[in-house]
Amino acid sequence: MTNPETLSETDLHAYVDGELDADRTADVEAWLSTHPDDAARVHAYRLQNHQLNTLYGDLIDAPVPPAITAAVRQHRRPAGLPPWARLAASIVLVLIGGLGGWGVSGWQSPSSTPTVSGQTSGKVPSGQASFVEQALDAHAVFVSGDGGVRETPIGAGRQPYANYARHLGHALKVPDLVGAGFKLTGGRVLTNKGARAAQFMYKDAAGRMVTLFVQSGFDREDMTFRLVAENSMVAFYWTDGPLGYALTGSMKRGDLLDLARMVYEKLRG
Amino acid sequence: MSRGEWTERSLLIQEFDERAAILDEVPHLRRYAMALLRDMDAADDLVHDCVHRALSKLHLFQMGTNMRAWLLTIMHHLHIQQARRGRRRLDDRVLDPETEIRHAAPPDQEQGLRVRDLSRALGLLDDRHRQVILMIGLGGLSYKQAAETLDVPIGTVMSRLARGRERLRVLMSDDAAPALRRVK
Repeated sequence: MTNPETLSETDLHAYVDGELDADRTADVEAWLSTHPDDAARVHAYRLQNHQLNTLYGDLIDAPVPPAITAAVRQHRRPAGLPPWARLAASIVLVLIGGLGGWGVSGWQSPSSTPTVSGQTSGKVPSGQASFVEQALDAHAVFVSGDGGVRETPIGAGRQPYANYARHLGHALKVPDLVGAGFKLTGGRVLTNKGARAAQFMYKDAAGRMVTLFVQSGFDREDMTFRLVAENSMVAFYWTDGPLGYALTGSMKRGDLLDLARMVYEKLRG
Repeated sequence: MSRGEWTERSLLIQEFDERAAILDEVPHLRRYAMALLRDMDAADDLVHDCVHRALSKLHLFQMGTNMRAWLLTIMHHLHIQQARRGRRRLDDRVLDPETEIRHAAPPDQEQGLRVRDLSRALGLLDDRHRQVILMIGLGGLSYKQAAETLDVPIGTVMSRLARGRERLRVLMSDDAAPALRRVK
């Protein structure tokens, strides 16, 4: 027991509301056992709460006016909010089943044999989910070194990204992530049945690799920021105008999120 | 899966749906608003305004924080605005006790009498006292959450709670035992 002599008015209420720690609760209970007036007040306060809940309790199960339900159900997110604002409101977590393994999934470097028409039987999806799968594939393929994927060093030429912009058919920025310890080590352009993409590779001092996958041809203003996790890989992806972005790495979500935030800000800045 | 084919994988999408989270809280908002305003139509108007405002500010809701406390904060601000504009209908008119009791559970006669007294006594309280009593006793907010919702120090919440409840107790005991009412 600490100091029952200093019991205050607010202690009685905090006791009623379960806001006291165990020691202080014991103090109050000891006090109440010898102070019937205060015990009666505690009882009265508890009764107030009980009666409040009795008086208004059935509103919890009462039908909600349709106007209110409809207002909520019919609400659509306004377009044009930055994904970061959306992220604060909503995180979309996509879990991809571990099917299929790591095929190259049709992405070809332009220097290698182009995809022939006989292989176009596959469905060409336009959704973001497929987009991010391609990004994950491209990342996995690059990191594993399978498929003879080589990155082209991005030099300090006058227009180091002009080729990428031409390939994508849209101006693009390649974010500088040195502030987060990641150095741009190279990039490559990819084509798949008319879909055009670019991949940029970053590496930090610890050897961790992240890739930024950029694909053109989006026409939806769906700027929801999404998170995908597959095996050890995590990707954040979003679209902004005609370009879709996916930042992929094998690291903690929080770390990748910080990095993705930086990418987004640099792209927008 | 042949090479050159776009992969198709089964996707399981789990989305935190803040609209569903708001819908879950609507009954609690109505209950709180009803207790605050003691008029179902006024309460539903306030809840409707609150939900509308919340939807327009969804991007400001922080994941992992308490949706009810967030909504009550919005409702609190709306309530202040309405009170300033003199749109609050309640304190300016005579209440019909039968309207108030309509939403009460039908307990025994004495209990019914008591809760009606409680509703009337609540109406006699200072608005700020009534708010904390309802937020904590009915809304289930912690002192800390109530302080954040009202944007006042936690000590203020505690002193308002203490004063409000004590006043309520005196009002109720006077009502319950009119024969014993003391001349003050």
